[in-house]
Amino acid sequence: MTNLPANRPSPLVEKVYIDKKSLDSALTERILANLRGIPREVVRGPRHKQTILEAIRRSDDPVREGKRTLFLTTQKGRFVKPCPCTPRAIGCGYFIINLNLQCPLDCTYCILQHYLADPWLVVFTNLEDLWRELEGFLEKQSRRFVRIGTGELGDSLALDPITRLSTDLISHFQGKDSVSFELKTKTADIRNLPTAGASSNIVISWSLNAERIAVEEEIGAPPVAERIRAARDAANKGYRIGFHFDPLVRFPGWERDYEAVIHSLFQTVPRSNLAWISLGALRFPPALKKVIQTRFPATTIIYDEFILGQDGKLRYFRPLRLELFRKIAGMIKKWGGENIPLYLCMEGSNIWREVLQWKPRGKRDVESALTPRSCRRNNN
Amino acid sequence: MMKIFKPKVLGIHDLDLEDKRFRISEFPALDPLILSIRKIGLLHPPIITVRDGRFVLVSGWKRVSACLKLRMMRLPVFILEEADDLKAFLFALYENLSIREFSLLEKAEILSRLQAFGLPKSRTMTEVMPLLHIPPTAIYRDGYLTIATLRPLVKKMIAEKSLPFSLARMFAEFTAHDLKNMMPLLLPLGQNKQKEVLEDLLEISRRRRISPGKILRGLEIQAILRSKKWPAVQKSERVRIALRRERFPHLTAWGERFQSALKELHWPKGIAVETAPYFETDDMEAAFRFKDEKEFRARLRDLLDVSSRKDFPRLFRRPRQPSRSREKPK
Repeated sequence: MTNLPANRPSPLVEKVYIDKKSLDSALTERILANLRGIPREVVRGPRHKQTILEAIRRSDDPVREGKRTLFLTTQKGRFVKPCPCTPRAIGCGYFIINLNLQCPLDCTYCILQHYLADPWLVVFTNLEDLWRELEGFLEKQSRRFVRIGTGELGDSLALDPITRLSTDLISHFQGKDSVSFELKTKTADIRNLPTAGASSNIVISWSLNAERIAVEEEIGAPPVAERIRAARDAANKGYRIGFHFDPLVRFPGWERDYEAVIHSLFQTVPRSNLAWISLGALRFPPALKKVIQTRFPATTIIYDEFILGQDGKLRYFRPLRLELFRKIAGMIKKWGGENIPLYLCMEGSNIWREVLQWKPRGKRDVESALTPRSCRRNNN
Repeated sequence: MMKIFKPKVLGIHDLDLEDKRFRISEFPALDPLILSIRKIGLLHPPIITVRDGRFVLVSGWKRVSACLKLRMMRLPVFILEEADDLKAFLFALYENLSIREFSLLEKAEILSRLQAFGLPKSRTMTEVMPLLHIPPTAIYRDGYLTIATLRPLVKKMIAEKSLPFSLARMFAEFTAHDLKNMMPLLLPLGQNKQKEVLEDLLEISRRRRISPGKILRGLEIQAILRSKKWPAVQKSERVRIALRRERFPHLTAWGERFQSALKELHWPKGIAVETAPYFETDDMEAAFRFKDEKEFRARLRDLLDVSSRKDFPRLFRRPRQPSRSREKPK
């Protein structure tokens, strides 16, 4: 069993609830060992679970309260799902592994505040089922290159100091050449990551933003410079590196601040390790706006010119979005990313065409542009 | 265990109507009740309790107000022997709950009174809010508590216009002074436009970090308000449009440019033309109705005619890209 080194700060979990079905799991044992001194309680059944959740929901800030509460349970449904993307957008053929839900970081714009019904942090402990499901899934997808990762419904590494799941996942995927496995994070602690093989199919990705947005809106996440340094260290361990500028946010002086980050990343991380960079502009369902206003009354990022997009989400008015994407894409090219695969997250074909001068016919086109072969070709 | 009720007949002026600790209805419609009492008398006596030797009304404010209007000098009451304000108030609440729906303002007053009487937040949420059909969350609880703090003028408007929670909640974001200035602007508008004005004002104020009052004191809005050319309703409408332009400058510019292109082209009447919602795509749509072949051909000729005009490409031109973002003034 791997335990947390004594000097490592754990996420601010204040209470652990354990589903009866998770009591015997090795992962539960590992997590509890890493959370010594934290109160724990076995959840006796669905009614007890509802009582706990209702108490969290009745608190003054249920989202924040949920971030202090960890629930260890089993995944009863499927772990692996296609990334839902958004209606009328060009997808990228990505698959997500739902191994944990919710996130201990507290970004003002985070959709999880609204998207998931239960506010607490959840870690699914039935890893044997996950491995079995993954084997079956990869067998079914054997004729195509698969991009798969965690980090959709929670940061991939934020709970890693206590779960150490990154090690399990990386060992599982390492050497599977038809798969690119991605861990996506805003954190900077990569000490759990083992050294990768030379032609690694493992991508460690960082969500980056302008420093001002990181400081003001990404509460609990480390500064951007630390994330970039962590990316460099991961590259030095042999991993391929991805960057997600998502959500891009407009604010006075955004061009200068984003350019500083882009310049810094190309100065710090070896280009040959870069797998891809994605861009996504701030977007949110209308219902999330009220949550953000209530939880973060000081934030102003939701008061820019947002319109109701074709997918029912509030997005920047098209010319503002285009300006963001074009300028950021231009900066990436200017500072050395000319040949790094660049893609847009949750945008329609007209935006792809206008920004990247490329109109993919569908997600297969995007998928094939992001395969390692094309990455290697582009990097040479 | 609730205390005993004693029926009694009191002089109406023996009641201490200045003690409003249990009152939740501010702007009741009394006419139907007055008619009912006049025809068949007061069937349900109000409930009274005693505080420091005074008779304090617990439940039945509307009934007592109606009796006052009818100049009834004496009225039957029940005396509730309960020294605890919270328990007495809960009694009144449960009594009312069984016979009528509460208005938005009454719900706000109920939650506010419960807080003042010391009912723990968790009990308010689990025991009371579901009974009032309010989602039992802190966001709603705090929203209703804020509505309870609004000034009487604003509450009166909420009551008279039966404004919904979302709109009433928004009023609470403004200072009393700003609200006083805004009332004449809002009153002529329908609910949707009121909401739009309030939302735009709030969001501009948050974005620019200035008070809504300062926005309203801006030159363009002041010029509209001072103008003698327009009646109140037109002034409200013009202020609404001015705020919209400030809240969505690029979108408004695109929309205005499109409309002006149509106007200059003398776009044929009877043919509707629209862009994609919010210009999200370049798609446009033209539509017309026709009764017969002749009308159909006439519309097509109109379209051909307009498309052959020199200015026709203007319809597809959009304003320039937004200018480089400026630094925030130090």
